[in-house]
Amino acid sequence: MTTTPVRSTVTSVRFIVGAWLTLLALTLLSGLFGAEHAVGALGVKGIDTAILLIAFAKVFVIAHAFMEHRHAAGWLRLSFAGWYVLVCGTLMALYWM
Amino acid sequence: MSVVYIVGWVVFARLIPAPSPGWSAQRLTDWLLGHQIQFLIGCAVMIGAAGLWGMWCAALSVWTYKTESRFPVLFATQVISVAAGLTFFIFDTLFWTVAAFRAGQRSPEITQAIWDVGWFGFLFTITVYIAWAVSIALGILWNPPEHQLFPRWSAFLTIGSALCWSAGLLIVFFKQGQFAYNGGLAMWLPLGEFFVWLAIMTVLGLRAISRQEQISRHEASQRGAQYGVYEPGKRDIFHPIEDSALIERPPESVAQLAGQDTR
Amino acid sequence: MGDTTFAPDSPNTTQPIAGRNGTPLERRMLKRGVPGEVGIWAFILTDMSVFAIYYIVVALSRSRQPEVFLHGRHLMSLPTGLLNTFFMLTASLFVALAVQYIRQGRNGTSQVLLVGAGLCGTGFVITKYFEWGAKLAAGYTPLSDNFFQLYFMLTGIHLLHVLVALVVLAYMSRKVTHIRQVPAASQMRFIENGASYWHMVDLIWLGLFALLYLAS
Repeated sequence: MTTTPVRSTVTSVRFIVGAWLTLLALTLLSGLFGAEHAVGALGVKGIDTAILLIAFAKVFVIAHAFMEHRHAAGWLRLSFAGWYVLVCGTLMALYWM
Repeated sequence: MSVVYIVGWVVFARLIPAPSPGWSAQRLTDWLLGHQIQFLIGCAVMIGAAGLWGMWCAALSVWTYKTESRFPVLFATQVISVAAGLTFFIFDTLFWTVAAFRAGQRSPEITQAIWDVGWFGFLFTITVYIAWAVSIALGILWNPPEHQLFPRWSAFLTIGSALCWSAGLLIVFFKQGQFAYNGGLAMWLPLGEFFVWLAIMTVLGLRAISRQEQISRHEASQRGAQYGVYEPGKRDIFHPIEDSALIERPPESVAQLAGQDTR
Repeated sequence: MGDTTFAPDSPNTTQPIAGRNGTPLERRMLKRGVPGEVGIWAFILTDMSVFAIYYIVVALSRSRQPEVFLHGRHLMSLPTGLLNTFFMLTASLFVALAVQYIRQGRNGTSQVLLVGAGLCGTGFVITKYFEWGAKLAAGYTPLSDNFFQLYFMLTGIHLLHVLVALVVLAYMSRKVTHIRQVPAASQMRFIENGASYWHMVDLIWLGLFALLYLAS
């Protein structure tokens, strides 16, 4: 085990806290959608789509900010992107059926 | 093995979709009688496949053996777990076969009971597979770097797979739904994931073999060609050893064997 | 942000044939770096794929029995779900911040943050206990119907992940106590591995929250 210090840049604390606040806001927003069902112009399917999109947006924020994908290798970001698209797409298709 | 097993499962036994534990005994018996001969052929094919599996597992375990010189605990765990796992693998097909063998001739309840034992043997015995997977993973993770023939990420993949397979333990509570023994999440997902993991490990294993060949040739070229590619064993009759330093001298007397004589 | 490198894997002290992270191709893939090591991402992607299948199965089961799922969802307590999500997100926040502070050499602050993350994780577990207790007291068990089977089983599997994550957190905290000023590469790698696992646990909860508590 070497004792060479790790040479790495610190992701700004403000950035991480900002991401967290964004996540909280998105959570509350999706909570509003979840509580008021089949209301307004969106309809049930619209609300479900909104909820799913917000959920995956939150997943993206976690990966991007917390898991530090901003600075990560291309193959990792690509795999995750594939996951977002496949899973969100399939779920939306199933909720629309 | 996988191809043979899947052929047996899908084509002959027609276990897609698998009968639910929620079926009545009579319904199960009728289903079995509906394609009895075909089902029995399928079981025979599946058991044939199981016979091939042991060698694959052995091929995987030698990599751990190679790096565990004196106290091969992980290797032993693998061998023991695989032996148990293989037994259960055959055991479950055996019970399905027995259930189908006299379906209709005996009480449907008995048929169903034997059938259930087969499924529990298939899924509920997953703990030995988990022990096997964990010992493979630890063997890879605890490898000294110069013997790293399997990439470290395959150890993490194995641990993740073991977690997926462990959902099989939940079948004991449910007779219908996703976590019943015919359910998507307790049976199909772990089974599918197992075959995906198997395919990945096979590819990595083949790579490890070719890399090991390179290493052996490299070491052989350093050692001298007359000793062949692999380091001569003490009783290697195919590669007679000329260099006396490499030969273990046979004991000259019983006393020496007992350790009283000093060399 | 400047030059960012994650904790490098151990230097390859071996012959070129067998390296710590495998073949030359695999080492090239690491050039830009990932948090922790490649392996933890293999684990994370595997676990995420498994949960993706869980989500899809929830959606499929719902499309087969929409009334059962609608009925079940109405029995879900949205405030409890929001509280659970809050605990998960905050724990993730604390872990992410702790990693940054460890990189800066501020080990004391990071320990406090790790304890905070542990408290949030424990809060999640306690909330889950009461939530399940309420459902069971009302007569809804995993055997009630397909919705509740999926609800109890999937949140249960996630709960196991959280419990493991709490153990990982304890090990991370122990690792931090061994750090003198600035972490060594292998120490940082372990901490980043643990942090990534925590974020994954948070991530998979978000999917469960959306499907079980929110969507109809």
